[in-house]
Amino acid sequence: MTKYLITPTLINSFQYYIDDEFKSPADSRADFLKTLSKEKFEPNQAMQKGIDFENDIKAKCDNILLDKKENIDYEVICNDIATIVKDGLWQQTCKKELKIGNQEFLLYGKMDVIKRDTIYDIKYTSNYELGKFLGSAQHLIYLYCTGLPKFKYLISNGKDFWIEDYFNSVNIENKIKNKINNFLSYLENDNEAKNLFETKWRGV
Amino acid sequence: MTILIKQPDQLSSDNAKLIGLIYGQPGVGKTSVALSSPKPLLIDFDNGALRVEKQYRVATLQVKKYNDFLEILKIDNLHYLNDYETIVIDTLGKMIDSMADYLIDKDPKLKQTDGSLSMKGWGSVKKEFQKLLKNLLNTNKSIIFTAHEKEEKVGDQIIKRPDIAGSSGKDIVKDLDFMGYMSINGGRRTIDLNPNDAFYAKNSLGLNSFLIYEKLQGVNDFLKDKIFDAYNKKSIEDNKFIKDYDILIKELTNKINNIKNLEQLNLYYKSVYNQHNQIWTSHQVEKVILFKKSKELEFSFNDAKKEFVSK
Repeated sequence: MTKYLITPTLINSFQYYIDDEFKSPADSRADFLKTLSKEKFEPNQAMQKGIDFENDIKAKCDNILLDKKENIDYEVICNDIATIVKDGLWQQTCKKELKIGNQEFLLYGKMDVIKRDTIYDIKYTSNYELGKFLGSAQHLIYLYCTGLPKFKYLISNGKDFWIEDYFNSVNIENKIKNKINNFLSYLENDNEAKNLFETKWRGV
Repeated sequence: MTILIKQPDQLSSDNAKLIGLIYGQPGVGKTSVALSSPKPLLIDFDNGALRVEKQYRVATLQVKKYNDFLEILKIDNLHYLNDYETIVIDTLGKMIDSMADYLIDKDPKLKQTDGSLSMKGWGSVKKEFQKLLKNLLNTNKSIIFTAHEKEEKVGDQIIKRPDIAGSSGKDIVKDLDFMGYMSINGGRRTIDLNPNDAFYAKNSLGLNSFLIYEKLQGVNDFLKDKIFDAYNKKSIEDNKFIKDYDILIKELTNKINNIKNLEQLNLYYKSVYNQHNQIWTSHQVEKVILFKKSKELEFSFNDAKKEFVSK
């Protein structure tokens, strides 16, 4: 039977597109289709900042000196986060099969850091609001795939630092199924997206 | 002098000092819940003390001006706090208002013509709030804030958050161990620490997240029982897991470090690898250490043969 791959990036990209009705739907649709087509693309400025931030924390964990930064807070935050994730395992993959009705899916993700009982995901964002990652599929999929009890988003805007905590629970599978079902229902009315999903995400 | 550095499994959580926030609509019972913490002192910015049933009232500082509060946090006055384990600040929103008035009294330029705070004024509140938090943390007491709720529109949804003016709301949340949304559901007063689409909450302690606050009939020790004591108990259990995990990782590391040749490496892979009872990330850690060892010995893994081979 055909099995489809599902990643947090795919589900979040769909969610962002759906929620973005009032902002810049054309841009978010383009991003959604890019994700669906698995096109490789150059990171934009915001994405690059996120990549640099993660690299700087990794460097701190390895006791490598950072290039001089304009913002002193930035280095303090990198230190604080490095203290939390030091000695953890970076970029470990996780996967688990999930059946919805008769359809099989393979949930897959690459985690920033795992350490003891916790999965850590490092986020750089210029506009943090409380609970920003509540609706993300990332913690749900990673917690479900690994069976680990805790997930922490380590979030910064370069000047400040927040943590959002999420925990494994018995209803996590249903939450993921709901998200996937919403995505699949949407595809029934969007042939372009449906074709991309069926061709690029099948047969894993 | 003895330096008391402790390993994670040795950390003591007896009488843990926690920082929490309970928010919800006026009259839902936030103050009574906050006062169910261990040995509370109420810092009353909102005249809430008199709304608490008489038998559950506690020692209270009735704040007329923000300075009244600052006074007890002065080093010379800290002994007044000796009898208390928890400082309850009721409400956080009123405290910020009071703080703003205090700052405007000190520097009237922080006020706009309509009486509200200027941008510079809000910057001063942020700094003063951070200073206050630091002072509160230095008291080595648990701190419980209460706050009213406000509704915000996020996309198509209405989400409830604590009503705290300026950026102080975001500043406080990062220091909180727990934040609960209190409401009345079917006649029952409930507190939910689990964030969802309808309200924001926080449960860094990993405790049972849905609490029912029954009508008080005896001692008011709800938070002490459901949060403080529950956390202390959980910490003891967690420490046991940490200890078992650390012992397991140490054993695996020692075994892998003793591997000297290809034969031993493959013997480990076939008879030991992935065989232990997994604790958390132990399988992933074992894999990383084993493959690092094979690299060190200059062997590689052959996927088809499912064994290590010479490079």
